[in-house]
Amino acid sequence: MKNNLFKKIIKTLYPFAVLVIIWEIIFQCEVFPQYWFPGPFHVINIFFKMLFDGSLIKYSAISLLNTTLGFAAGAIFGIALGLYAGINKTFKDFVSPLISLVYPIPGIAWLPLVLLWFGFGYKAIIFTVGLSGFFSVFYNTLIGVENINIKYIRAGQSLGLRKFKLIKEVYFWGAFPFIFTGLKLGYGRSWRTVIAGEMLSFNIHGLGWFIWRSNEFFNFDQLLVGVISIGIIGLLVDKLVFKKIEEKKLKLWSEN
Amino acid sequence: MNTILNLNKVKKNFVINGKKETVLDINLNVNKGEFVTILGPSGCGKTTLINLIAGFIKPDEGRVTFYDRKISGPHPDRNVVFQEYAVFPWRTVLENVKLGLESKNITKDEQESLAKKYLRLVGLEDVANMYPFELSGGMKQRVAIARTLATDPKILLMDEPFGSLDAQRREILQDELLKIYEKTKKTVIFVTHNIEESIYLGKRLIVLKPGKNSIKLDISINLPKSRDRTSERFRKIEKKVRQYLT
Repeated sequence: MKNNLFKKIIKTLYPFAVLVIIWEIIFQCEVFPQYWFPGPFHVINIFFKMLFDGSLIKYSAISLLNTTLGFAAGAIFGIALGLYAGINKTFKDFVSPLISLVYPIPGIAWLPLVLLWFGFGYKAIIFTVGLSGFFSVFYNTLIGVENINIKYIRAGQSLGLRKFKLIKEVYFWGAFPFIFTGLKLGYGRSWRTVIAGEMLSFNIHGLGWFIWRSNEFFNFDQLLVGVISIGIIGLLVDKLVFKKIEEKKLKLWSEN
Repeated sequence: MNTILNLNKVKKNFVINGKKETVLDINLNVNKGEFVTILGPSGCGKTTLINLIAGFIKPDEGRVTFYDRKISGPHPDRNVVFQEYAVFPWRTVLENVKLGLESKNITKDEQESLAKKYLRLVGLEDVANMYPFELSGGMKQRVAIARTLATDPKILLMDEPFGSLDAQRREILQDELLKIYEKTKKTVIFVTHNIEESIYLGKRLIVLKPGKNSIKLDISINLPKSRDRTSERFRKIEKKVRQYLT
């Protein structure tokens, strides 16, 4: 058991070790001027310094909060409208062409306009983040509902489920594997938007703002700490949230 | 006898390869407490018949009435056990059986004990907290039967429920179904394409064919309660039914 765990840790860590070694070699050979290209150990050092003095936690928390609030709002609308479009064909025929047009537009493209509507601040960022997350969730929910085997819907109706109860118990859970995919994709899109949005704003001190500021002050080591933090948070959210749901829920759909 | 289900000059057409074809054309009365097996080749409108009675689809002509009222949609009084396993994979066995009880006007405890009662009836109380993906096909279908019975339907509609089981499990479930029928005295309409099954289960057997005047044969089966598939009388009926199937 213990031996296995050890092996697992090594297996997970060694690609990172390789990455650090290659990074160090590039740094030592001065492929780029060292000033623009800080070495890994220096960056790791700054990383822990910022972690322990609380500043990194603060920036990350703000970005996470913006993402989570915006994404939650976008996801709720996405699921609700996606379920409705999946059930009501008239609504679907109306809304689908519109969404096909808007879907490819990156959320951040709306930000300048949104800033005019809401002013610089959390509202604008959260709205844009929500918008970015919304479409993936909406689309996947819609496809999920359309893929529900009709036997489940008929079984629900025969059991006497009506309206909201039928939507909640059969349509929502029937479409859940697709909804989950939509949530994952949407969350990724929301993250991208939040970082870009914070880069453009001056008063929301999240990771995006921190990266941008480090750039302006030529603190490239701090900049890299910010960039790496985005990766680490993404990894943690995936492992602690999405993977957990996957293990607990999605396995129920596996056919035996 | 009191008729509870009546199909009066009911017709259902489907467009097949651009041509309108009559799939079902039927007059039928079903009495309270009857166990009717419907036999026929695929494409003869067996499932269409179930769908009409369940209220999933509407007839193109004629009327389907249940307790003298026109059927306008699905209702727990006419609950269905489907051909494919329609238990919800996202709910445990117990939660599946409870679902139909949740919208009834009874307390949570009553829901729970009722659901457990029906799980006992199909011999599944031990797996109440398992999820469908952990069960065999036969067990899933027993969950579906328990779930359907739990809503206390006036008629039980079964659409080839044992079709995807192997022969042995099929026979076990047939015996269980007969026991449940004896206990609950439900009216049952059981669709199958298996001749032996239709004779073994049915008190009344109807053979359908595709197209106009769908009913080809409508007989009552006067065999003893516990039927012997190898008995001479059983085989004689089988021979007769077989003639009508060609």
